[in-house]
Amino acid sequence: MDFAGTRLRRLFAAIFALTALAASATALAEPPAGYNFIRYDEGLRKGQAENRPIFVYFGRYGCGFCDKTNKVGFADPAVKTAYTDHYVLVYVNSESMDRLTLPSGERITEMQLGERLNTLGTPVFFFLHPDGRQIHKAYGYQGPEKLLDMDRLVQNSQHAGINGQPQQP
Amino acid sequence: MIPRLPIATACALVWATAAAESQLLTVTTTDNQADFIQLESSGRKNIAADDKQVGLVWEETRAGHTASYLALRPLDTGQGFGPAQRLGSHDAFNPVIASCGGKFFVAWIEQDSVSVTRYDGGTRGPVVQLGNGPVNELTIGCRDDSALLAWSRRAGKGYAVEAGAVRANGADLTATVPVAVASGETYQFQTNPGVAFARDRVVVTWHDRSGGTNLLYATSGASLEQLDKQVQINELIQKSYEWGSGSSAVRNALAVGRKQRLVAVWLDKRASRAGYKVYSAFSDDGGVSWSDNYNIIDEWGTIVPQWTPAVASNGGDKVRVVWMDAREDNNTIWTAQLNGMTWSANSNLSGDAEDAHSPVIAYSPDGTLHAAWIEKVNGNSRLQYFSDKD
Repeated sequence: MDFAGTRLRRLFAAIFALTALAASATALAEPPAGYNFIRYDEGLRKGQAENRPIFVYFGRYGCGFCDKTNKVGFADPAVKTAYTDHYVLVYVNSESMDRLTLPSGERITEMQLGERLNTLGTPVFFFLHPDGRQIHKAYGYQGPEKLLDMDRLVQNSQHAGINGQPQQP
Repeated sequence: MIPRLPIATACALVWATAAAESQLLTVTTTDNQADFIQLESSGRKNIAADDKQVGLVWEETRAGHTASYLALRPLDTGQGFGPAQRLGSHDAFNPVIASCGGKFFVAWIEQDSVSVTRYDGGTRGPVVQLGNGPVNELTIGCRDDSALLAWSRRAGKGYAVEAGAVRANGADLTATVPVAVASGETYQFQTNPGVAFARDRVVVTWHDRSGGTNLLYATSGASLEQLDKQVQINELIQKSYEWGSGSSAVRNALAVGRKQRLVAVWLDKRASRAGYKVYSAFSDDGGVSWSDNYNIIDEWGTIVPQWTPAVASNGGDKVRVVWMDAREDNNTIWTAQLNGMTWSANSNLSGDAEDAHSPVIAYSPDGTLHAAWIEKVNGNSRLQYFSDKD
């Protein structure tokens, strides 16, 4: 019985390990866990309705720097508090053919949105005013310090009333 | 105006003039910045041509919602496109068109299913429905009296690609029962399908990110019910931890060239921090095996990302690819032609356009090139058509 029990425990451990491996593989470069990221069109509407700035994360499945930003940058508790409190959080899968409805009424795919915003690669992060105007844009891996720096910059610009560039997807 | 000349000389002159002639037409334009025109479909199958007509399908929002339209242009009169004919009566998007036997198969997505019809000399036939569930993307190919359609629909938390055929018997259309092209357990995110007929086989392509990054796959068989095991088309460049799961391959398009050679093109993320490049691969056995991958972008285009590749052939010596990039600052349409196994240098197709995007392309059997794209002019959308004796 002990031998059979040991084998059973090993089998369960192996199944657990394989499941965890599969989960980590399919989870690569999804929005970071524990954050409430929503669709781009939904986020623009929410930002305007609640008069809150919008943080847009362009990611891609298979993107290592997205994964690193998730596991290092967004895993920081201070980052989580700042970004959850300060922004409407939006995630765009830059290779998706799902359609979005822009505020103009135009329906484009998530990938077309990347084309319109000329995203060279992933990840790309946009900070937007509640009305959609761009405040700041950052490319590539972002660690916790950089994410907190950008948050301070954007919050200060909000309080100072600095106008951003029009965002024209 | 051609002067009166001896018949042989006049014929030669007409031929020479025609050979050098290219035409640029505006098919439709919006006069309100709140309205939009779109050329968007899986495999970029929004234009098709035979030796008598060219058909163009697009979607626009002027009806107050997304509606799809078809316009036909006779090629023998030199006139422009006829009036736009609306496809469907509800929200209709992702229209596609294919030319076979002097007729056009036309399909679109409406109310979560695929609607298919056939136009014979401008007369529309009955509409049949395929698919069941939230269809997201649609593509088309055809052979003789049959159209082959493939679409991606939501399946659980992912997507599945399904394919079905529509056969014409006289004026009637009959739809087959759709089949899944690959295992939903192994491939959980099947999107962006392409289809073709080559060497008496049906070929379906798609991409899937179940392995951590989007990879391009093909399956083929004597019929949809006899599809073989999947083969991977793109070469996966294994990357380091920093680069993630490897290069992705997305937005594939298919054409069939001389000797039934399949040509696949797609956007590839390999080794480039300047975004996607357009790559290609060939199959001489109806999609069973595929060649090495070949980059289509020349050195002038390496510093900018490329978008929305489309490919077409006349089934003979003409194979051409189009895409959009901004290597000269503005969004413009670029093209390359296949010479044997070598792609030509890239050349501009949209001329002086300041903001052109979403190109699509087709050939007539005689090698006349037909292309269309969207231009933004003063905030309005304009659907442009270009033809040239290639």
